[in-house]
Amino acid sequence: MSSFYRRKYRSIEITVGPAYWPAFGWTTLLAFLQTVLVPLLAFRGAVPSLVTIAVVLYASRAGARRGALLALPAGMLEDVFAGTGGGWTISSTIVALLVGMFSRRMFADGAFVPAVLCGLAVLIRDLMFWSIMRIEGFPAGFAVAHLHTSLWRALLTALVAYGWLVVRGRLVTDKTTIERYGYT
Amino acid sequence: MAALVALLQLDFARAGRTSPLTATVTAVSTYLQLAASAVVNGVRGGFATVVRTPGLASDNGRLRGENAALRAQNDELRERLARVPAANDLAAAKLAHPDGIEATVIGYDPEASMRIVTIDRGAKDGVRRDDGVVTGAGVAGRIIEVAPLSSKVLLVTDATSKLPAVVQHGRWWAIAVGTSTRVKLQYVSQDAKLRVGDRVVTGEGRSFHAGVLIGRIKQIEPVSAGALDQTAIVQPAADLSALSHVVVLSQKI
Repeated sequence: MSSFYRRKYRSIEITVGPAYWPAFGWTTLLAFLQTVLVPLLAFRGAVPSLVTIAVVLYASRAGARRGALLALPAGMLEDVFAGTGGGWTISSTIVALLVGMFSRRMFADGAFVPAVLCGLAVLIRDLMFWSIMRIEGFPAGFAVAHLHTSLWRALLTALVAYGWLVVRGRLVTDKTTIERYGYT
Repeated sequence: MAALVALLQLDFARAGRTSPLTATVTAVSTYLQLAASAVVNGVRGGFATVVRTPGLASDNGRLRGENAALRAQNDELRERLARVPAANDLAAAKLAHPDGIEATVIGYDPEASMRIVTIDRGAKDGVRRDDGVVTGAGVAGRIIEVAPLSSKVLLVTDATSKLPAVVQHGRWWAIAVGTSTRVKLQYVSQDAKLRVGDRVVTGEGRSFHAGVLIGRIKQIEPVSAGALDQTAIVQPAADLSALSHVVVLSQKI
């Protein structure tokens, strides 16, 4: 009886932040844009990482576990497009976990702090990516060789994230805020 | 008074000069004529416009249509003009390698951390791992991963790319290694007299036959004391930042 009862048990987790599947759809679309369009707009060899923005913003609002659930397929897509052997999957997932944990200690609202977080996430993600590639057999020192590009990428990513958050803040009304303050 | 004026006028006429009175009247009448003609012409123009309004409407519609057609034609011609360099590039590559497989670049490394592009030809089209890839200008890279419908090309500028190379004018051998933006010639003989602008071509290897242009020497790095070889920076002949069409060289060609 009890085991039968247990089998029907559903975990109930009270979650906040954006719904998973729409976020997943947008992230997939951004990953496609990232491979088809964004590299054509490279500035000093660097491109903003739209996927990192999506993962960081989602993880900062939805938490580490759900952030990692989004980062995992997003990173896998990037690995497929780039032809790399799991570097982006692992680094994206770890970044989502870190951001999710860090977001407990900060306000994810506003534009400046999340944008800076996106920029930092790019640097951490790149460092982890090249470390993983080193483990996979790439020559040592690639992280240092790509440091200049990574810094530009971090800056571009932070700028794009900031721009998006400012525009979003003007166009979209946060339903959670309305409920919280009891507005009708 | 009238007689006085008449005498004055007669006197000026006899002298062959224009009298002040005549000049004044003429000036005033000129302004009046100008004003009158402006009014008359305006009225005539307005009347003509009213009369021709139905025709003007149809003319306007016809001209708008012609304008739209010309704009569309202009856009199309601009697009064709923009494609000319890529088409020329591909045509040149096909001319040099008639048995090569034409391919279109359909994807780039999403994070631009590695110099890898995806092309729309795969195993079904006869593409195999380590096949060379060229543009009309020169070497682009080599195939590193083959799927049934697509393949991944490691560009010659990627830091993990290594190709056997030869400096054409002295036949000095070297290894061409990517530096992310350019190509570095390594292990060039200490005796080689490199010059800026020298052509660098492929040596016989797994991906390319000998003689395919990689690029030209842009900079010769100073030789350190005791070094047994020298290095030089090569500017790739192909524009790898804007690849759109390439030709894949089968290893058996």
